[in-house]
Amino acid sequence: MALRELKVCLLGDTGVGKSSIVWRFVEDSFDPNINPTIGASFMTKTVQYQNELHKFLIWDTAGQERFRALAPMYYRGSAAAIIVYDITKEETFSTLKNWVKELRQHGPPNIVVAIAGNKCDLNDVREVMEKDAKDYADSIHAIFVETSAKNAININELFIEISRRIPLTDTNPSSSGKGFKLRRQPSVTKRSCC
Amino acid sequence: MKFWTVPLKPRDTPLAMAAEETMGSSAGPPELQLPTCSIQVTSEDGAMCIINPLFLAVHSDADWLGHSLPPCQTADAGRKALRPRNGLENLQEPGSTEEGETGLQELPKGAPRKGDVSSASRRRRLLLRSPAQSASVGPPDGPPSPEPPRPETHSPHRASWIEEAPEATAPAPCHPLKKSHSESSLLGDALLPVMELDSLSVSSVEDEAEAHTAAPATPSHRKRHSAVLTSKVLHRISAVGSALSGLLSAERRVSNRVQELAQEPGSYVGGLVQSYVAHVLQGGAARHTSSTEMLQEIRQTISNLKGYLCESSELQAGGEQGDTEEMDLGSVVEASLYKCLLKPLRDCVYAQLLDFHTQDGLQRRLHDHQATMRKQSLAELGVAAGVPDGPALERIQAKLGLLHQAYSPKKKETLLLKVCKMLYEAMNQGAGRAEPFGADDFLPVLIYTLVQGDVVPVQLDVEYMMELMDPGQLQGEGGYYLTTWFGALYHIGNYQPATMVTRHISIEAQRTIHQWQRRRTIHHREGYRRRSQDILYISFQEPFANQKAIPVPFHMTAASVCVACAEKYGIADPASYGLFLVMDSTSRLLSGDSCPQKLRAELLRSRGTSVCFVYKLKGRGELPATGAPALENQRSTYNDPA
Repeated sequence: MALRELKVCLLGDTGVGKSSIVWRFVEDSFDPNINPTIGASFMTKTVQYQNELHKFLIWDTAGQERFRALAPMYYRGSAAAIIVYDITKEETFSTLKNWVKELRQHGPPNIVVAIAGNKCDLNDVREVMEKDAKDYADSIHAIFVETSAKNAININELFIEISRRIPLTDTNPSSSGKGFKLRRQPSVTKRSCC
Repeated sequence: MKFWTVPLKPRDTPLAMAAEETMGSSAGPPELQLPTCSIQVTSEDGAMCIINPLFLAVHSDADWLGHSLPPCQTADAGRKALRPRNGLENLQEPGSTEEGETGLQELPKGAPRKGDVSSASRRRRLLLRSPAQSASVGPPDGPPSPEPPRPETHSPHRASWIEEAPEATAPAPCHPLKKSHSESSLLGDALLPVMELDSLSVSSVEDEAEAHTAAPATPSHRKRHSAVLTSKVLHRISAVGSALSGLLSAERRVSNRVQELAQEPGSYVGGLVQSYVAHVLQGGAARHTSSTEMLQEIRQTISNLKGYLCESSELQAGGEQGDTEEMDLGSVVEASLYKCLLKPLRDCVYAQLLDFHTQDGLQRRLHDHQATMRKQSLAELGVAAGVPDGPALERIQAKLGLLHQAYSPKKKETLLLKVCKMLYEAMNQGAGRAEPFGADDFLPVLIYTLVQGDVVPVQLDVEYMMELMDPGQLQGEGGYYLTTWFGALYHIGNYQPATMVTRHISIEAQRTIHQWQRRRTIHHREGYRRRSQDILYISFQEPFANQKAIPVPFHMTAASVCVACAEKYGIADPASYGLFLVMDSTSRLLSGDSCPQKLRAELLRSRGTSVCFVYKLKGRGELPATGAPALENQRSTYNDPA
């Protein structure tokens, strides 16, 4: 089975739940008292998509303002960016729009953009309407889902959608073609560094 | 012909031949035509070595002399490379040995004559033997010299050969001429395959070399060492060398590949490394709220890049694979990343650390308290054991200087442990006690020693190490002494003359250490889980014995794991084996439908302890079910479908 490596980065305001989304996706766990990310953190997860294995190489960036200068390091080489906002905080949606602008200006030309409205389990205190966000996402041809890392809603779907989009939209062989060099390896999961 | 007998460098070839020619003839300066059967080797720097033929008779192969003498020089016509007085026959005849005892008269032009000759040659002979002795590979020594070696026959490299020469006998050469130096020169001169891996090297070896360029190097000693190596020594080294070189060369390839990638801005990793380094150098470090956060970000970047390199295909894409399976890829990549990231960032990080501690007043406090504490008596400082004397303090300061200069936390750790060792030696020197001083007496001695030098750089070093060391390294001796040093510095930084000196780390310092330990090890566990999310280590028959890494996804059942284990361990009757969970010395058979990864994650969360999975014969020693909470499927069961 062919293995494809997909580099994905997460962007968004501090506290919107980027790390929780990654944690839920990779480990299927949730920690309400997670510490703010420092710099960035890296995780991987391999999933099967149709007749391919997709290995997500995930860069979870820090949302705090003082780490913002590091973000270009991580989105520059990414095939997809997940921009996360908190549906209960209007200002995180504004931050999201700034991220979209920055990606349009400085990001890779074919980057797949996904917008995740996290904390959808907190519908009572919602500040961002789903329709507004959906309309905005459509206007920039981005993937859109509302997610809850806490309740495991739409997390896998978000990554499956990225899997679906990348082979279609990605015409740059250098970002996705690397995986084919692994063909010589008999197994894709055998490597471990410890 | 064995490989080490081949002249190593082209320019040596004529020399070796010249040596052979000279051996055949008995030509020599007429005034030196005395009966002797010593063999004299003049090495490149003009230093003379005399090889006692007795030594050869006892230790050598028959063809040792003809081929394997190391680089000699004939450029100076006045010196002959090799001049046996009695020709080769004598060397091979046991009867000549008695003559040999009294011989050793020949000297090159310009060397001291007659009177002091014998003592000089004795010195050489001693010199010649000591490497073989201390390397403890040669057979028992040849016949004893007529006189016992005198104290003044100590030469610096004799001391240097034995790494931890006792302070009493070493004539205090203050420059750190270390064993590693002798070793590398030895290998470099004498042994091609090992030399190759030494010079290209994994970065730690390079670090060593870099450190030595700062120290007063003594190249002349190198040559002499090589000139007196026996073939047996070489043989042993070559055996070890070839055994290691397979693994080391694979490690070196990975290490080189990482550095290549990191230096190439076009590669993905290169882009990450270069932009991070540029970011920090351009003042990125200043935006942090604390020194800890700054260092944490750097550590996080190292861990991320290590994770990426271990997980992605980028590292494999350029080179051969296969042998990377055997090595600890993570630690090789880690060491290479030190070079890529910490080497360029070290100075900037230290400047920033100093900035932080100038602002928070720690630097000032350390300075002031240091001045106060220097004036105190040993009793006031709580010191019961011996303390390092002047020369020892100087040596410790030199080590601390190297520690400060190093950029690799691993290298710093090694040096820190060396200083600890020196302190223990000083503590027990001349104490005359039946029981040596131990860890309880260590802290006051450490505090005493630290305040004798400059405390501030040590403070920065300890902080640098505490945050940047690989979490895996924090266990064990290194982590223990690092926290002791932290405790000592904490004491100096918070010293109050009114309070009595404590011989233990203060409660406040302990609390900080606990917090730090928790932070760094939790971090470690995360990193560990991340990188190996699907790998489960399973032991065979006994806990932690014959462990194999088995890819076990989160929802894989114990039954499927058993199938994988049976294959991995080559079990003929898988039905009689089962997967057991061993925890707190109890062992429970897992039912076929339980999920080992899930169990492990739950236990890790609920108890914070690690557990061991053992694949073994059923019906031996497992406990019946007990009611431990939060542990599903723990009932003993024998209907494993596998």
